[in-house]
Amino acid sequence: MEPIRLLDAWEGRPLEAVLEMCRQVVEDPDLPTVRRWRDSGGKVVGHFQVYFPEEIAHAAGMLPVKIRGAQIEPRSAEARFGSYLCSILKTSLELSLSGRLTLDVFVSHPICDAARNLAAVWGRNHPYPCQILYLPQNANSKHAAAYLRQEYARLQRDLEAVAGRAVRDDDLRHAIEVFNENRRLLRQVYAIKRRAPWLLSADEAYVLVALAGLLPRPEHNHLLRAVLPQIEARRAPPQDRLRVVFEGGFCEQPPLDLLRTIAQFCYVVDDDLLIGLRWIEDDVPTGGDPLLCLATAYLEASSYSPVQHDLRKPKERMLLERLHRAQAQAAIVTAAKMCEPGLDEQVAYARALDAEGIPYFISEFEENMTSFDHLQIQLETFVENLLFA
Amino acid sequence: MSEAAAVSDLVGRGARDGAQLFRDWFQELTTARERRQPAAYVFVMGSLAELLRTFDFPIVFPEINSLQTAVRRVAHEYLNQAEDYGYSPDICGYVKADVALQLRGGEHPMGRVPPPGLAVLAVG
Repeated sequence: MEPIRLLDAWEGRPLEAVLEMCRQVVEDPDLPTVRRWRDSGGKVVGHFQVYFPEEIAHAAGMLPVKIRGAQIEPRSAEARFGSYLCSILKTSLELSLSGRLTLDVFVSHPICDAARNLAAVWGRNHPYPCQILYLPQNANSKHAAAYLRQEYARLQRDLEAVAGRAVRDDDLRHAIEVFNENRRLLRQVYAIKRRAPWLLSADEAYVLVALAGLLPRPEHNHLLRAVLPQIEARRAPPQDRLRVVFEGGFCEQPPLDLLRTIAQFCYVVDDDLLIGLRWIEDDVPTGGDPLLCLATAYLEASSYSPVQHDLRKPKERMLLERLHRAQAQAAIVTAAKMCEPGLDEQVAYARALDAEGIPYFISEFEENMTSFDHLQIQLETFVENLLFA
Repeated sequence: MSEAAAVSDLVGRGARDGAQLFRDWFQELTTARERRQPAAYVFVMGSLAELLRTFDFPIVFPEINSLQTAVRRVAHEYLNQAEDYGYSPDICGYVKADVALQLRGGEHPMGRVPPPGLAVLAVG
């Protein structure tokens, strides 16, 4: 059977038109690709930020959809959460309460005090299963991989029940191969950002990555395979802009207009935006026990974020490594409003950057913000202070 | 004992005894610090206190530390210190009070809190 295709036909269209189409899909709160998948009879697993082993959902024939909030007014969700909580929790729930997003399973993770209650609140408002995936709190325990493998097996059984089919090891191995290709392609996106950021702006790169959370991975792979050579072939001259790393986009996402504002003055040569989609940094082995391979990769071949605690990866040291690897001149250290993990980490980042003498710009954002004038003036001043020092 | 005398003895006893328990608790922690004993830092809920006690860990409840800075009317000093250090005003006051407590080497209005040798986290 021909796999269902969720994006409109784009082959043969100019690169700019394809990127514009991608932007519209990513910014559309009605999630048209997910709707098409469901209309064709497919089942959907919604997974909240940050990391989720999407291979398991793919192997069960389901569409894993990354729940990352939206630029919508959380009218109904406001009645379910306290006002002091971050926006992404409320807008994510609003997507479902408003009927924009219909799921067959919802999975969240106890990444913070607010999110650990999300599955329970979600479950009280919807008839389908809602559950928590407990990623290991202590990544340094020698038992962490075995524990996580069992947790993945539990998740697999739950997804099999909803999907109405068994997942064989070979299904998982095939899914891992598909996702390995996706990881390679996403690494290419970031390699371009680091090597020739004038070829791919921060917001363009963002929409290409974000689509991974809205499409079956084979379709996303097909898209990236086509557009990456076109991006490499762009005729765009380098400009005199500051090379920066953007840090603070691991959970709630800044609006695209914020990224565009930054891109007016800076080349964003690396970032942690949607890091969960890029969490595993290398190919996952396809031999042996596939669930154990996924669990081991989560622990041993992964990036970093304020919601994973691993003594081998102090966040401030990881940020410095990211800056050095990308040959960045400065850091933009942001956090979503009311985000305790993000705001906590800002302190360690600032102290490490001070110690290294690396300039940085500290800011807060909210996914629903619409005015960027103030940020623009501050950022322009920051950049000019460095460029004309 | 007359009924009036019995009532008089009862009224306020909870507060008195409770305050004494807190003083004893923090005195134990101060002594543990002097002995350089490693402490177990735990949440109030799901603390495994009974298990940790059997290993002779002095048990520190960071939530109680923070609450007691408010009871002793010095919370603002701790919160300001943490914010001066870099913590956002949006960060929970309990966290910031305990950050300042560590920045002060465990100094607390009720005693001197030992540093952590073990942290027990509970999610649920």
